[in-house]
Formats: sequence, C-alpha cells, structure tokens
Amino acid sequence: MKLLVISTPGFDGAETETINALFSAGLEILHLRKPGWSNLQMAELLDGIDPAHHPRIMIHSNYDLLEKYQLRGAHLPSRSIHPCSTTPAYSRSRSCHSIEEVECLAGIYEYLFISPVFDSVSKQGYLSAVSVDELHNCTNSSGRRLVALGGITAQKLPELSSSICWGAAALGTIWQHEGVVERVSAFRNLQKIADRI
Amino acid sequence: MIAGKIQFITDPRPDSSLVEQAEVVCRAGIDWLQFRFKDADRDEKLSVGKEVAEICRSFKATFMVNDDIELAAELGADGVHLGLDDGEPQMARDLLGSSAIIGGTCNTFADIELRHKQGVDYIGLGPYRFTSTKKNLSPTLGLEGYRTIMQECRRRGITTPIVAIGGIAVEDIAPLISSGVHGVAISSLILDAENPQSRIAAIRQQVS
Repeated sequence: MKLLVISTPGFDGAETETINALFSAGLEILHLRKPGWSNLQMAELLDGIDPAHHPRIMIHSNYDLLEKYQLRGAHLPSRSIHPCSTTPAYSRSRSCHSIEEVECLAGIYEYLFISPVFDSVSKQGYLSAVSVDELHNCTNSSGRRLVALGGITAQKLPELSSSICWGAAALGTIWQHEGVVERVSAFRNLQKIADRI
Repeated sequence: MIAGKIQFITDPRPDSSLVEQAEVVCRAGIDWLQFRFKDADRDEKLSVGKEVAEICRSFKATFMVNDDIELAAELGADGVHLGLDDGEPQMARDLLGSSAIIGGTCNTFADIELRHKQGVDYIGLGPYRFTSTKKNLSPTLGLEGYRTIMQECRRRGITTPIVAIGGIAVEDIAPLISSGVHGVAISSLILDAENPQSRIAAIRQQVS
C-alpha cells in the first residue's frame, strides 16, 4: 500500500527541512495543502524543496504553479463539479467524505481521498465517518483507487488492506512531532507497515 | 454559454456586506455575479462565498469566482474569472469541467488574441477609465480604445463576447455597446448609488 503525506495547513519552521528529509527517506507522494496561501507564499515553500522532488508533489491550491514547478498534480476539494475527462499532463485527485460520493465519481481522478476513516490525530473531534467495512464493499463494487485519510497511525494502519485502499495518507502522525528526526522516524515506521499491506 | 450583459462584481464595503450586495443585485434582475473578495482569509471567503452562491442559485443567476480555481471548485461555482496573471484557461477547464465558464481579463488586443486562442468563454476588457475598486490598474482605454480594439476583433474574426470593465458610468454604456462590446462588468456603479434598485433599472435600459 502507498503511504502519502499531507502537509500541515499552517506555517511550520522546519517544514522544508522535513519535506526534503521525507523525500530522501523514500516518500513517493506529498500533498501540499495550504488553505489561503498566496502564489508567492507557495512558491517560496516550493523553492525550499529540492527540485528533484517537485514531481512528487500534489497541490491543493495555487494551481498556476503546476507547470512552472513541474509538480505531480492537482488535488480538488470535495463538492467540486466534475473536471473534464481530458487527460492533462498532470495527475488529478480529489477529496470525498462519503461512500455515496465515491460511488458517483467517474474514473477521471488518479485516486480519491476518503476521510475520515479513523478518528483524526490532528483535528480534535474529527471522528471517523466512513467505516473500514463500508470501504470494503465500495472498493469491491467500483474498483477505484482510494486513499484512506484521518487517524492513520501505526496502530490503525494495519486495519486497512490493499484490497480496500490503494493508499493511506498521514498528517498528524508525522507533524505532531517537533523535530525533523522524529518526524522522519514516524514516517519510516508507517512506511514499514504500509509496505507489508 | 451566453455571457451576462450586466456582470456585477462584488466589492467589500464598510456599509454593505457581499451577501447584501448579492441580494440587492439579484433581486433587481442581474443574472451574473462575480464573487471577488480580495484580502479576506480563506475561511471568510468560503463562508461568505457559500451564502452568495446560494443567493445566486435561488435567483438562477450565474455565479462566477474571481481568480481562485480551488475556491470555485469548493463553492461549486459556474466558472472562474482569471486575471492575466492567474494561470491558463485550459488548466481551469481541466480542473473545473467542460461545462465550466472560463473568463479572462484583457487590457490590450494582444491579450485578447492570446485569451481567444486559449479558448476562454468571454473576455473582460478594460479598464475603461480610472477606478478606485482595483489596485495595480493598467492604462485606461477610453471609448476610442474600445472602438479600435473591437474593430480589430471583427477584422480578425474574434467573436468571443467582450464585456467592458473599469469605472463605467450609466451614460458610457450605450456608446460602449455600439462599439461592439457584449456587455459591461460593474461594481461601484451600483454600490455607490443612492438607490441601487433604480440605478440597476437605468443600467438595464442601456444594455437592452
């Protein structure tokens, strides 16, 4: 199973250092989610990341920067209307918050975030809304690439299986640590579990 | 897609919220609103945007979002209006869907050629004259500027609807329409009026 990482929404003093270290540790896909950031702020962050890693980054906003930085792709919010069934040079992914939403989406996205699967680590009171069983039934019927999100911890991750999910995305489990070293070791720990699933 | 002949652009004012603005213009029969909310934070844009979108929907007015493709997606907007520095129309199309309305700002004929080639659905051409609504304004075009550019468009067979924007007064509208523009985009013209309702009625008379 793939392990993805999502950035924190705000500023973080050690962010670029962490991101570069995560990529060096083998991170395949990073989602940069920075609600409300200007192109300038986002560009500054991207400038701090080794350009070799840019093709592994999905952005949730500031889509103008996709081509300039040769990023992996664009993530769209839930509720967005269907994008074109064209195949742009970049990848597209999208957030979903219910099985119904997943069911009605055509296969135009590379993968879909489904959340929250478990109780969130980073968002207090953001409780699981989609059960693993529900996910199981859904994947069987639709065969879509789902990325589970919300409460992805070393304890919970083994509850997922690759027949249910294509991947899982971690946020709080990584970023709750202050130091870069601790963050990378939390990532490695999750990655080891994900590799076995 | 038929571009609105009167496109209202929201503008934060101390005395009227964007939600009130949307209510007033939709009630007075304006069927095209562009949600512009600079200098607000993300949460505010989202919460106010949802309310404005709801009002537009209930009046069956087209709801456009200024600049921000992600916000347009999040609010389920009918489309997005891109400034000259706001990225490629094709990207907006790829992300928002084939039915999304993509508009683009232009200041010169060269901009129009570019946006036309990129396949926008309509163009906002301006500024007509100086306006305090917008910072970083390009040189004003005046009526002569519009006449020249519209002539050039006809000669080159560019039929993308063009709406005039920037400090337009009621008496400017008829001459602008006869220069060949499809309609006008306005903000202050309505927001500065003592009686917005009658101002809108006057504007509607000019474009029809």
